[in-house]
Amino acid sequence: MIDATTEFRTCSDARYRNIGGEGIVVRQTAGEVLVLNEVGVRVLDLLATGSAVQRVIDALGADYDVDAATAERDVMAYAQELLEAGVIERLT
Amino acid sequence: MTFGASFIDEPDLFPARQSGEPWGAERVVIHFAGNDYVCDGLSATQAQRLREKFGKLCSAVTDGSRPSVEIRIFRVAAGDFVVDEREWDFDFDLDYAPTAIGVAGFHVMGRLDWTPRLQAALWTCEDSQLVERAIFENMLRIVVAYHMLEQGGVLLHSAALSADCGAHVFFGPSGAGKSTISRLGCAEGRSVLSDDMNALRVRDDVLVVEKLPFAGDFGPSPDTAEGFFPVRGLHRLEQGSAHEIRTLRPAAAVAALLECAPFVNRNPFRYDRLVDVLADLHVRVPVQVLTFARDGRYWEILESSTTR
Repeated sequence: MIDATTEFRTCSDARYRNIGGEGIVVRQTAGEVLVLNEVGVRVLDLLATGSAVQRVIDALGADYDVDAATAERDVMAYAQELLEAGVIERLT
Repeated sequence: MTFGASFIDEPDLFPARQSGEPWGAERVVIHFAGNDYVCDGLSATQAQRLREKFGKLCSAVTDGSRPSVEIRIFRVAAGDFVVDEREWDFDFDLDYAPTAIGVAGFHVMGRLDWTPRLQAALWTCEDSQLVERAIFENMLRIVVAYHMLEQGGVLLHSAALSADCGAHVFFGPSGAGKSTISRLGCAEGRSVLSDDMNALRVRDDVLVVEKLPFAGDFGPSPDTAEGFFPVRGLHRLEQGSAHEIRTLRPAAAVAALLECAPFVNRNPFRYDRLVDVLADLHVRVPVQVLTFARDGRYWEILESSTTR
């Protein structure tokens, strides 16, 4: 269960690069490649540097014109996707 | 599973450096893509088989005018490898380190080492089967992939067909249609460089595709000129019912290319370099997704969206 205090780090086999404002993530063990849009890049940047979920929600609310409830729902869902894809893993 | 465990009887005894007992004293130099691949330590049988396979690309000496990579061939006992019900297995394991790569396969072990120059070695118990079972070619593909990356290029799982003053490159995973598009193109009079592996790199500030001696289902194309061809189009293949072409955004383009860069795309120590090279390719010739039907008319679309 992900909550506002959950922290993550990138998995050891995940490599990430920002290209033209979008991102590509490679899971090298599985040979899988993901493409992230601008918002996905921002979320992963924050999560990968140890920001707790609440801090990511706050940052997105400030960066984009989005209300807190929407930002929370989207960040939670996206963090879950990244977790299931093996890009990030739980730190706490 | 431990690296090499399904191939090597005692994986812990994988060679830690490039030394051993050569099969013989024969040398064959294979020239392509502007490079010399110098194969040393061959038996007479192995050398003969290599000359038969690579034909006019072979010579006995290197003149020193081209970059070269030495590939040394060593003999090991059959008992060093796992014995089980397999008659043969073309899969292999790769093990990555900052300045070395280990290769383990059926009746073969290999190493690539940067000292700092790239050098390779393979250990096998097979004499005539070295070439016939593609042991050597599989190792050579890995060597070429890393050598190309060093030279600012990439080995791409792709088909390349010559066009006026250049070539179109079609890439995608197995089943994407590389052999199909090669057959369709050939039926329309295009020459196929390879339907399996091609090298892309920049020469004189132009992105070119290098013809390599690696072919897939379509087989080798001896009628195609050797050398390199300016890339007129770089296309990620998708099969569909109608022809369509669209340009990818940079991240999606790099991701698509990355998926088709075998041997190097899972190496954590080469990832940044590979992404840099692929991003540069897309800047020079934007990657397009080509959806094509099996009627051979895809070339009309390419002609209207060509990089000249």
